[in-house]
Amino acid sequence: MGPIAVTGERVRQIPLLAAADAQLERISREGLLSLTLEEMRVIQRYFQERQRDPTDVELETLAQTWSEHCKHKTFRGTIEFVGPRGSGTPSPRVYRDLLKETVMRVTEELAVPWCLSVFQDNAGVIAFDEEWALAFKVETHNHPSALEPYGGAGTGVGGVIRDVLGVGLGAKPVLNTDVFCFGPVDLPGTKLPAGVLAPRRIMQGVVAGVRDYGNRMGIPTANGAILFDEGYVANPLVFCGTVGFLPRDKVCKSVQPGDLIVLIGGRTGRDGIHGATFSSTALTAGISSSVVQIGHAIMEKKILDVLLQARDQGLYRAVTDCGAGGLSSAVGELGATCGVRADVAQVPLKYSGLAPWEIWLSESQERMVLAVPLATWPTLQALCASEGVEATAIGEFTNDRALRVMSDSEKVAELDMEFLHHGMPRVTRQAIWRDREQVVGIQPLTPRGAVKGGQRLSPPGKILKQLLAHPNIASKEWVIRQYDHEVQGGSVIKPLVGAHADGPSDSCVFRPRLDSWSGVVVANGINPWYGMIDPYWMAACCIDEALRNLVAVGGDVSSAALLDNFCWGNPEHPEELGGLVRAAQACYDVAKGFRTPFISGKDSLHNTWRDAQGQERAIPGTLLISAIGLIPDARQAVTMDYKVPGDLLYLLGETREELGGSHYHKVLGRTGGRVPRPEVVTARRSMVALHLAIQRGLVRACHDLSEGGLGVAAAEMAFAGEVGANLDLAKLPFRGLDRMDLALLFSESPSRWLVEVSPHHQKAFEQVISGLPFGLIGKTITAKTLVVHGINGRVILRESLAILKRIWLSFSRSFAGSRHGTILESDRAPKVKGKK
Amino acid sequence: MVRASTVIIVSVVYRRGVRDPLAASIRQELPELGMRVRRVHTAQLYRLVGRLMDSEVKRIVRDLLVDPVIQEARWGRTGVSSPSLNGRVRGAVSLEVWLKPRVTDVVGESVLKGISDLGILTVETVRAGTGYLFEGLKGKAQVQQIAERLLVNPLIHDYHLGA
Repeated sequence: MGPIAVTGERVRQIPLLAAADAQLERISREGLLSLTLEEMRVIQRYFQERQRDPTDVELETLAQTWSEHCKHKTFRGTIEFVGPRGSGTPSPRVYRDLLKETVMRVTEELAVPWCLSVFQDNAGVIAFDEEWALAFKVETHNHPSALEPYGGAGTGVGGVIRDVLGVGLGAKPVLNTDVFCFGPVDLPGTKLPAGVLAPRRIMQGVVAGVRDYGNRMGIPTANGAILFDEGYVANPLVFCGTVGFLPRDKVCKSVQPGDLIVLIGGRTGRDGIHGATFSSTALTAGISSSVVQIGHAIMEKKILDVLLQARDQGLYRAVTDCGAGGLSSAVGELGATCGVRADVAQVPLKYSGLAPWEIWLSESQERMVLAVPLATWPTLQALCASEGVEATAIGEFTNDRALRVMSDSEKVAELDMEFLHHGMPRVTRQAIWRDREQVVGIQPLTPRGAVKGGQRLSPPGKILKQLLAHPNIASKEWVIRQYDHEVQGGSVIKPLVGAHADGPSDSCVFRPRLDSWSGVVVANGINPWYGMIDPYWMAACCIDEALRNLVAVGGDVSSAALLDNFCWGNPEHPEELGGLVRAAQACYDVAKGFRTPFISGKDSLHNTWRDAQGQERAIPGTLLISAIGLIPDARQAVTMDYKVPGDLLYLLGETREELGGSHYHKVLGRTGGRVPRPEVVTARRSMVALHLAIQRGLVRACHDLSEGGLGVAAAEMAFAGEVGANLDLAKLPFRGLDRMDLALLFSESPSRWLVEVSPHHQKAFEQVISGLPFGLIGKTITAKTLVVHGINGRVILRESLAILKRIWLSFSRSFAGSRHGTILESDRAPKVKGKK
Repeated sequence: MVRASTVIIVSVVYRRGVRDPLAASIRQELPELGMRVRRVHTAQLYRLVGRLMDSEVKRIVRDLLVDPVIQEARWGRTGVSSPSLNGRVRGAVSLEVWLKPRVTDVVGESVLKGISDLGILTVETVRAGTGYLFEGLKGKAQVQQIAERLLVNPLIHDYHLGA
């Protein structure tokens, strides 16, 4: 390989060859490269062999390709772990590749035929029917949303939509799903670190960003969740997901040497430079505005329109999106197995004055890269012109397995693809886990004392109201109503359901093909509070929750596939990493047990921030599990609201003393305790049975039990349907607890559903669920009241549905009329002082 | 006659009696900052740089930037007439918020495209901003506080206060 001539001032050579370790570290730090000393040394050796210094383009390309964001150093590196697996005894274990040995291993071992593309493309792909496939991807955009909530969240949505546009030969985005974690919106100013936006402002900006991008592109946003915890104050989590729909014969892409590298969409500016490396470091003050990206939904909509036409006309052989790392990443990945020769001088710019490395690394939004055969290029050009989308050939794919970047006639980078993609030194990290349920300082909840005491202090009705008012449980109507969840016309079960379309749906159901009744169910599971006690059972519960939500509306668990999104603190802290390893272990154990493959995922590490006292804090280790599955006939789907008085109410699943991390503890200010633990074999059998019952039309309403347990679920079903209920806690199937009323009412034991069944179907329903833990625990009633009898037969709770509902709505109503929101007449209702 | 390139500021406000939703929501949020305000007005601001005759500016304003049923506009060339809001009320404090020069301005880009679709090809750049006018606050310091806590993100915004 010949030396690179440096002819202009636009390219700098970085003096690396003779640099000592301290200089190497300084070069990485000052250039915002986020490369470790070991990585810098490997790069130095590579260029020493070639007897030249690297250019800035080369060093920047390596830094972003080797970033945590792009290469998942921690998940793919070596981890020396000490701790128990599940509830076993602690033992050391070495992971050579955590992702491969846990999450991906489930899919490999299950080897189901309907997984069409997993862990290799921009999204996972599963079969929908004989002709069509579904693509699903969830991404995070945490750091950008912390700095500029509107732009950060909008580009998060834009980015994940482009992932789906760039899967296979391109999928049509048909659904968005968004999950957010924020600091408490009523956080006192004194707890806010300097320079950090208030949680309320972050929330309003994020919601507006997601709304504007999704709505303007004409994609329904019909599923999501919003959580609040002090651990997210300066580091909110913004998960953006998109489901795509594509023909099964368009799932594979290929690149041929000689194909043109074609860039379509927006122009390139200095937006978001260093996004990939920036996302791999902690959030600190003094950040440049160049890391901020602003989205342009209409531009992306035009790209979508062009791309799907070009796909169906067979005008290109491969496509991928320009995301983190910009052209460097997109072109580098498409050409990884052949080779690339690109000319940055051809790239259309927003303004002049960009250095070659800036053009190559820029994360300007709304751009896609295609591999286009020479023969079809004129047709593609004409098509793009007709839709007003700029398309430019910026180079070609080669067969010499090298990455060559030119700026006009000047060669500005030349790297072996092998070194670029496989030259990175493997990271070895230490991880340790100590059981927190037994840590001194946290008082384990004894069944008798604590619950009894709680009962004396707080009557069940008061606790139920506190739970319903809690922002994590309360209605998010103010947010949901801003999203278009109907566009494209396929929605079957919407996010808000019930007599007045304001009850909380477990999942959304939609039909991507309007000429077929086959439906798709999308659901999610997330609970960082369990993880504060034990990430293993948190991960297990998240999988259980996503699947039980999916089944609650009628989805088929045996058709379900999962996505994992880990957001964690600093992986260089062994205790933090220990929690992550435990969660990943659970992903394998539990998903394997449920026989649900993972098809794609993403991790976002280094989510740390400094609090008002200058103390470094990590977010609570958070795992979002997203589930996608099928419902053979969407007309059989059920909603969660009680339908008519006089029906039977069944509780399917066993209740145990599992209050650790529960919201019952949260409202009482308690910590510690035993985290809910799914029993996978029974859970899966329950899901199969419930699906069968729903398919046979035996179920009128079904709601999963999650935060707030039976009490909250029963109340939500009642006020959503405006039908009262009378429940008897003595009839609950339970195990291992002293049948105390409050534990029965608010335990968050997983794998449970409350099911409304018509008396006509009693026999048939009980036959379907026979052999499983279930109890006929009550009836729907004419009075618009929720009545609960305690184990001794006395009425322990009697509350009017109207009051319960008003309390549940009050959190959302407190936002109505605020900026980015709309004021409805109904929002002017007097506020309820139901909060504690 | 084609003149030299100038800067034109257009300010679009709601007509009297029409509800200004942005202003209403700011009013609602101010008590959280411990402030009360008599009135808030907002305006959409556009900064056009180019060679434009008055008749062309009028056409851009009328055909592109204003919904005549609920809005009205005033505009001026900087140094020629004051385009800001504070002509409307005496003793009020104004605040203008613009995206920093290098930050992508999607609204500005769309307006530029719209202008070229009108057949006017002599505009070089368009930037969009927001104007606010506060009545009944205790001086500039309070407006500065509102800007910093509520309306401005210093990472992407430039702002300035008026008398």
